[in-house]
Amino acid sequence: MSFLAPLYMAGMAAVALPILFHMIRRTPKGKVPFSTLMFLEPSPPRVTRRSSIEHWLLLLLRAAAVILLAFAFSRPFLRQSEDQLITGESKRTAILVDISASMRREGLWAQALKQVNLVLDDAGPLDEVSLLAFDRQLQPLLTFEEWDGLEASTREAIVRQRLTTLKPGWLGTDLGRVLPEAVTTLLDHADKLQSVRQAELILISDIQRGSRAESLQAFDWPDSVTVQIRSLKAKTNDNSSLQIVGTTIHQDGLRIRVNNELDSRPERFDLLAEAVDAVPVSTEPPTVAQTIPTDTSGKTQIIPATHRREIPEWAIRDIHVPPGQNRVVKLSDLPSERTAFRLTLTGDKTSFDNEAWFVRPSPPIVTVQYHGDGDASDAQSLRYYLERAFLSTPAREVDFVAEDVEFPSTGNQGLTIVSHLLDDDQFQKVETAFKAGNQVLVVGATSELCEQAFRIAVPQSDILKYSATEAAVDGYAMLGNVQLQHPLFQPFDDAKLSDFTKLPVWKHRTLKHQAVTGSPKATATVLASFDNGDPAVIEIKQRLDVSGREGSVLLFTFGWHGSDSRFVLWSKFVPMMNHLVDRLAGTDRETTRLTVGESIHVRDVASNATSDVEITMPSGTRSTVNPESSTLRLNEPGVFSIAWKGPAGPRSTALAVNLDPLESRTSPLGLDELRALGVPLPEATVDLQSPEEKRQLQARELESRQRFWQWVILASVLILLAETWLAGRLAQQTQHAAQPS
Amino acid sequence: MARSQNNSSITRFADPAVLMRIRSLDLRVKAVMEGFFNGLHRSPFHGFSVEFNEYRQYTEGDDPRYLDWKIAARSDRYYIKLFEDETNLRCHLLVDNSRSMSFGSSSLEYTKADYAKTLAACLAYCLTQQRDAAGLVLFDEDVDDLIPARFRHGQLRQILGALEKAEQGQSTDLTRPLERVAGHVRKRGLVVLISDLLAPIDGLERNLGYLAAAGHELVVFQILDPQELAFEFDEPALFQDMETGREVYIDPASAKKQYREKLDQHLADVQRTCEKLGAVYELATTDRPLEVALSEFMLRRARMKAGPTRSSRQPARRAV
Repeated sequence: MSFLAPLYMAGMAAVALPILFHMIRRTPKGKVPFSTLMFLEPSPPRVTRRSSIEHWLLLLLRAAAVILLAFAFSRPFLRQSEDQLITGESKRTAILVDISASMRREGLWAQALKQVNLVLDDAGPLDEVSLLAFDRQLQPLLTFEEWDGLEASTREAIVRQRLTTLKPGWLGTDLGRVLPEAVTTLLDHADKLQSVRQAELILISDIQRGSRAESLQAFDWPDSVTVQIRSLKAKTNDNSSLQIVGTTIHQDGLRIRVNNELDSRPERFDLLAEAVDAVPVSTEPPTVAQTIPTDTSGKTQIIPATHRREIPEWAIRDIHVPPGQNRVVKLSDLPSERTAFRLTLTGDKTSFDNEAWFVRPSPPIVTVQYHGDGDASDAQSLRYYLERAFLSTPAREVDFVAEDVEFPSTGNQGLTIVSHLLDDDQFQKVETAFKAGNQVLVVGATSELCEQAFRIAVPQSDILKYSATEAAVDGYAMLGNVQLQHPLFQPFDDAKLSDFTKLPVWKHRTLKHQAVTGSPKATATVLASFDNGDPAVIEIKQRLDVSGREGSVLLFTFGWHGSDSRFVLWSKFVPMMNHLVDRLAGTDRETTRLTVGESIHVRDVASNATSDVEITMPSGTRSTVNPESSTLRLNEPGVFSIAWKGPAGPRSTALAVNLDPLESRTSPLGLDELRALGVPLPEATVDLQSPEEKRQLQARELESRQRFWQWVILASVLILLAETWLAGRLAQQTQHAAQPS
Repeated sequence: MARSQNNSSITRFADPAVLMRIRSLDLRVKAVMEGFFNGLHRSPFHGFSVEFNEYRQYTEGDDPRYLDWKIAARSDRYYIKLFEDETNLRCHLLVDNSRSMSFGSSSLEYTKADYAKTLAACLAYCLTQQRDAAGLVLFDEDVDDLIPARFRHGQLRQILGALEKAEQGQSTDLTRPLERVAGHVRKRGLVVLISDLLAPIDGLERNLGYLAAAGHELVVFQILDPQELAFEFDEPALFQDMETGREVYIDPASAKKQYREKLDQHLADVQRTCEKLGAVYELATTDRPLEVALSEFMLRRARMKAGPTRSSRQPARRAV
């Protein structure tokens, strides 16, 4: 038997104390009340002639308690199990290597590679090893299954070879997600553990504070798994970073937050901003960016081929940020015609997080598709006026397309105007647009057109009864009884603007309609009527799905030009149409900040692309993808350029992608903090190299598993209880004997 | 008259252990006095009856008006009461109620306090019977209860009641109670001190001296437990002073001899002090019958009063 703290065995010498007390005991055996002590002097201790021990059992119990306590404190364990551990049984080790953005700091990656090689050197012939890389997710490089499938002589070489393909990326760290997954991997194929004594997770990482380790608190670690941390130390703890605040440029400028880590020494920094092109300059067909060897190690580097950077710069000099604090600065006077900017922080030695990217949000595009006759240049045709009525503004853009142009329906960002009877194909298109959520507007210049409008909204004609006939107009009719609260007329909900009498309508259709009966899905509401009571504008709504989304058809029962009326020349015509478009564009769309590691659906960006979309990465790599089926993974910081062809012509946009802000929190987590989160770390610190230290660690491991001291303490407590009972009993007996006779 | 101590007479008196089992003090006193008077009749303590000086056996020619008919009814014997002068005896019974009086050895089922109270009650009974004024002072370190000496209806009951309900006091201090008595009592009388007197002797001499100087007749009963005299303990133990609470480790085997020497010295000092002051001193151990204690007391008092200066009585008028 061995002992972790053998010096405590010296405590056994204390067993002499109960013997000593036993021999020179002068404990009185009772208490005798007496009338007065005035004639009595205290007696010296009585020492018997033989000085013999009277109560052997009591003495033995006390001595046993002292001996057991000393034994327990010396932390005994059986060392023969340790030998078995070394020689007879194997362990299963998962090596986790951090490849998050913070590992780009100087010197860290070389340390990580060294630690992996050390672990491989320590592995025994019976051990199983798996190599896993992680940032926000776990990436297996070599699984246990693969390891088992390899020849024993080639295993380590394979691992080292795969290690060479690894390098830090740009993503953040999520230990709270990665470690539990790694434990699952470790304990997978549980039947194999019968031959494995130990399951170990070796974490090689800088364990920075932004690793999202908090959620580990909720993880229930299996008893069979231990975690060893190979903590990597950067050459310097200095680090500052910057993040864009918000997603737009405020009136007072672009707001940037500059952070300085607590351990940093520099406190003064400069911030530089430069405009960059959001779209590639080159008009050549997209190609993969060139890759050329750039250094003696044989590694390649992608050279950005298309982004051009311009001077002048905008700068904020001498920003003072004390360690552990942050400061928000405002960069004003950025040119409004430029959309993309690169911001750089200087004065910080740790440079991986010293750049930020910003792109002005793109205005939404509303597509207006016109189904009607006429030419854009013919002032007699409705098209002539419609094409000129819809104006693009900085808040939204309008694509006006003729009916023969195919483009995907984009939900509630489209307006479809129908001014002639549709054939079957056209009707199907319009109906599809309606069901996709487009706003449909029907100019009911004829009765048939009016009836068609109802068929668009409510295809089953037996649900809604209607008919349209030509109305008899005496002279002209005027709009009256207008629902100003409806969004169509809302811009005119003002006493100065609500005069609708200046629009004479010489011809219109009249409708007999009934409210929908037997179906709650469709309603028809009169939004405006003529002074003769006939409906002038009707909104027909149909519920499209269970979520409550509705499709809407606005039916004007009169023509907008020609012999019906001069609606297109009315002062309210252009505001009304643009207000419709404004509503469709939406004013509360949020622009989200994008960080490295996120994915977006290409269709969400190129909403009205009619063909494949061209994407240019910040590194210059280009690719062409199908917008319907493609997801863009944002794997690096910078500006992603996206170009496509819309129904009205080429379109493009840019996305600014920045580092995960948490990755800039580079101060390392302490081992105690990890233990507090429940990570089962051994007591000894990491980076043990000498065999003696290893042996000590193994001894501690053995002792912590065997825990003999607990049983010894329990035995000691039981003995003390017995001693207490026996001593009390003997005292009672003596007290009875001590009573005066 | 010669006094002889006859053991056979003693054995005829009630065993204190048996007597103390009578819980009612009133009944206990009557049992004692009955035995006492019976002994009085048959006892060879002739001097006793004379010593008691209120009774004399009837002889022919005595005035039958002074026959004590109660005794005649009880004992069928005729005795003449000797009346004192118009001044009756005033007796003040000072009973120690301190904690040390609560000691009683385990062989006895009663304490010194029980014995002292019974003795005081018996004396009060006798005094009342002979139409003397009896009073009571219960004390420890101060006066706990004081009943002025009177002869009136209910006085004996009041004294017995006070003795019966007296609660154990604290420590012993003779100074204040004796000062109270000295200040309270104007006329000369009899002061009977019943205590274990386990206190420094100098205070006793001083305090009793005041009373003696005032002309009072002093009687001192020192009540001790047999174990206090013998100190027959077997095992070492923590001895606890009942008055101070102090605890001392005592090995009886080694402490006994010294204890007895000191105790004997103390007792001798007490006796000498009493003799010096002219007080009647009686050492009573609690295992001795009360009747014997009373008898001894009467005898000694009679011897002391034989001196010419101590008596104020007049001889009974002889019947014509």
